[in-house]
Amino acid sequence: MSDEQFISIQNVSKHFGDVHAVDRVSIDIARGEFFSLLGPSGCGKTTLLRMLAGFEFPTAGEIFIDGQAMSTVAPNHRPVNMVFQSYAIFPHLNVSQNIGYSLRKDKLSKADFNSRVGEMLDLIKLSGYEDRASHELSGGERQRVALARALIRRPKVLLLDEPLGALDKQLREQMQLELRSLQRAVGITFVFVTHDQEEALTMSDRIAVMSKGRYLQIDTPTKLYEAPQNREVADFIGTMNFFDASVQDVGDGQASIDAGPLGKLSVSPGNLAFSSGQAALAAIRPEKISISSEKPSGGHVVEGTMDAAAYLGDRSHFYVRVPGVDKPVAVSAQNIDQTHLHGDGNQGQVWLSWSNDAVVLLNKD
Amino acid sequence: MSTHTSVTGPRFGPLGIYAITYLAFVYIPVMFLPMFSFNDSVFIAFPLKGFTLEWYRALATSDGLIDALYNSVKIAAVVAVLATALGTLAAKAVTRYKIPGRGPVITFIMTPLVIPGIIMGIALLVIVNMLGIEMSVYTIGLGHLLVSTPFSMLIMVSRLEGFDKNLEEASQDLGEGAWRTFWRVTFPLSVPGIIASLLLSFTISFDEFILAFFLGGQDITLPVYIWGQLRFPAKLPVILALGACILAVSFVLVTFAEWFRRRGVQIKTSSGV
Amino acid sequence: MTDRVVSAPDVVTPARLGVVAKYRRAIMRSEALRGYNLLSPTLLFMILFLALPLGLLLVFSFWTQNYLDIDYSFTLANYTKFFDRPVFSYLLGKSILISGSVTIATVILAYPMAYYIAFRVHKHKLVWLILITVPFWTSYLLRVFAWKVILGYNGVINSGLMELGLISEPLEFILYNPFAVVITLAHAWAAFAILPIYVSLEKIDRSLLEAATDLGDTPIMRFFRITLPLSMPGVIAAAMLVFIPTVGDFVTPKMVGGTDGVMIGNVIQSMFGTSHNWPFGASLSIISMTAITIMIVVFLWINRIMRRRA
Repeated sequence: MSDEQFISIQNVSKHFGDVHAVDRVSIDIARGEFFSLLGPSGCGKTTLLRMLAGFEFPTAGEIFIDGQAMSTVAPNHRPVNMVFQSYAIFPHLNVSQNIGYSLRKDKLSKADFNSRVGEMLDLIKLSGYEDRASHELSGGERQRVALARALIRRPKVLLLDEPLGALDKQLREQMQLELRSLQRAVGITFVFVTHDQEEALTMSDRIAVMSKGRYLQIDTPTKLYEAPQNREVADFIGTMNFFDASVQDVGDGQASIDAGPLGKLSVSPGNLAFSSGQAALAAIRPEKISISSEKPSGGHVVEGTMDAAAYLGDRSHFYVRVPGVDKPVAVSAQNIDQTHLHGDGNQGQVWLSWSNDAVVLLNKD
Repeated sequence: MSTHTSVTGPRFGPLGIYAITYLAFVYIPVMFLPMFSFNDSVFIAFPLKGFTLEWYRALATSDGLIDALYNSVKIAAVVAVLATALGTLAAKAVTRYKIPGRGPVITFIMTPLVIPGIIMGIALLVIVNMLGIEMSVYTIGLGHLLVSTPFSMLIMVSRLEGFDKNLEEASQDLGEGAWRTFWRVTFPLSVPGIIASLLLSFTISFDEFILAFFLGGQDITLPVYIWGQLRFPAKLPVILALGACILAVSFVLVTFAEWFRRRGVQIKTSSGV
Repeated sequence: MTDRVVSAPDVVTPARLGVVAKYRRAIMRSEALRGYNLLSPTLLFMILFLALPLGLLLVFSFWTQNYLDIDYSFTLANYTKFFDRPVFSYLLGKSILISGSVTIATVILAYPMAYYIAFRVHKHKLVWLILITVPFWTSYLLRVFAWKVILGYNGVINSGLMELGLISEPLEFILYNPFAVVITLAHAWAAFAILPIYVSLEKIDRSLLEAATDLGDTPIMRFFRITLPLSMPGVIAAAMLVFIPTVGDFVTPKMVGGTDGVMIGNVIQSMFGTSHNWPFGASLSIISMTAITIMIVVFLWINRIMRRRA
């Protein structure tokens, strides 16, 4: 067992009747990592998490945690704890009874019990809440109690099932930061399930993007955003403009492509393999395209007409029709000096420009 | 609730009057039993002749009454516990696990609710007879268990559906096995349902007549005792007194049971989370 | 950090698992097995004391009573006897007619009550529900007995009316006839009909009703186009819960029915009592159950056609 394979999911499948909720997934998660499973609902992320917790057993494959095979280990014997989406705070117990629920076996004295629970309450900044009934807690407080309850025995792995989903936006953003710093403080491996890409990008060391029971790409947030490996990932994370292109020549770390209306480009293929003559996709993020009403000098430039514009305060979104491209090109620009582009029913000419390294080359389909 | 006043109507309209009338229709006939049990006349007829406790005094000295009462209580108590145990297990199985054939299994367990009592009675009578088992309080209990279990299961299903399945998973996740999880989480959260089930099963068995009539042999329960006494017109006032007592006990038990049951359900629907 | 970690059992490879371990592993992996494990006591009990006895009753109906013994040879004699003697099918038909009237009366009377609790009562729903349900759980025998007291020759009604001087002789027609059976049963089963109807009314999304009003329905149109159709499952459940058990009732006819009010249940009971012909009693039960089942299938079928047409 190495630290890189602290959790090792090996060729795991889970079928519910004919539904393949998880389909031959292999993932290694390192010790101390904040790892996210990201995907739309029904992609298998929650099933995978529940298999880690032991509430579901794989139809095929094996899961190892810290070198131990989990297939014969019941949930109550696993070195993992979970924060449930609903928090599952026991309604008949108060806050300290909830947090100290798992201490029964230790047969602690009253004082020891209280001090253990007190430590956790300090950690989640709820000191003084010991005797509160569960129904007196707000959503954020319930979430913290669930967290403390799961961490009190210092599990090897903490599993979190969309724990921020029920909170309002402001609280959610605050909890994202707190959760991240808490994870650094306790040094426990976190496996986090979410459908919210922003949440995953903010908190995770690495993210597995999942779809239809399989993962599409496992990478750091930066890599996922800047260098998606396929169209689905590029589409799911952020917004992406796609242009049909054909590969003309593959050289040393460079590929020349003909992107039709955008002209000929020289781009980095990343770690994907392309061959000459192959059909491909050139992808550019909206914020990597510059927009101006006058033709800029130098760089790759293409002319278009403004289709629609949305003013968002700090930035604007523009949709520009470019001859020969089916969908309007999305452009996102900081509102430093772009307000003139928002004129009433502006149907005018605009110029789009970008640099070579803004372009990501992807396989078609 | 108040946001939908446009589709609701006045509380005290014709419908309200109807509701009160309906309640009267349900309650008044039954109320004649206690009323005439205090009437100082052997004839159950108007006008009332005056107040007496004579019939209640006669109850205490009635032959066989104490035996019947003892049988009824004994059967009802055992049936209440067993029906609640069976109902709880079955309710947990169908609410917590995805099991194939869930629908047919539930329908099967619920069939005693829709089979005429007489047919259940004779079917059990036939099998008990063929197995050569002597009819007694035990065979009555068997029959009562059969009719109480579906009710217990219904009560427990709605109770178990009333709280988050994740609570039990959380307990397991926090290191407790199935048995401990039951005692630390499932049981305390099901207590209102369990009490309701115990009280209702007790009352069903205590009041049940048809199965006890067919399956009792020499052992008789209170309702069978009453049935036997109905042949003697002179004993009617005593039976009224007995009936009034049984009604009073049943009312108290059932009111408690319903209160526990429905309060539990209401808490679940009103708290949301 | 490791000192507090929950310990896990040693890794066991599948090949080395013993039988018990294999069973445990199967139980752990299969929800269905765990579910049926829990279900097994109840299911076993029901199979032994419900399915088996009913099956045996069916077998019994093909045997015959030979004075004090049972003749175990297979025969349809009991069934031919039923169809040869019109009195039995007449009694069965009458029972179904009485139960049918009881069912219709009960459901029609119960519906407005359920509607009232579901739509008009806001604060005290709990109280109303308890008030309605409590009598249902109390002694059936006593509730029937109460009607004997009310309808009897010297009963509440007759003595009351005579006391008021409205009649000089007790009315004889109010007790010991089918009508007395109907009213007694309707009263005894009242609560049973209210609950399922109430539940289905309560489930109706109130915004559907608002939408109907918004689209121009009057309250009465709205009731017939939205509320009633959506509460039909409750009405059907109520009808079945009342109809099935009342067909076989023998307590009420015996207490208030007199000779005209005799139902099939009384005959079945006498076959297991004074007449002592168990096999024929068994076949009467089987025939009654079959008739009930046919009635229900027809009822559901008509309901489905009506719904499709609506």
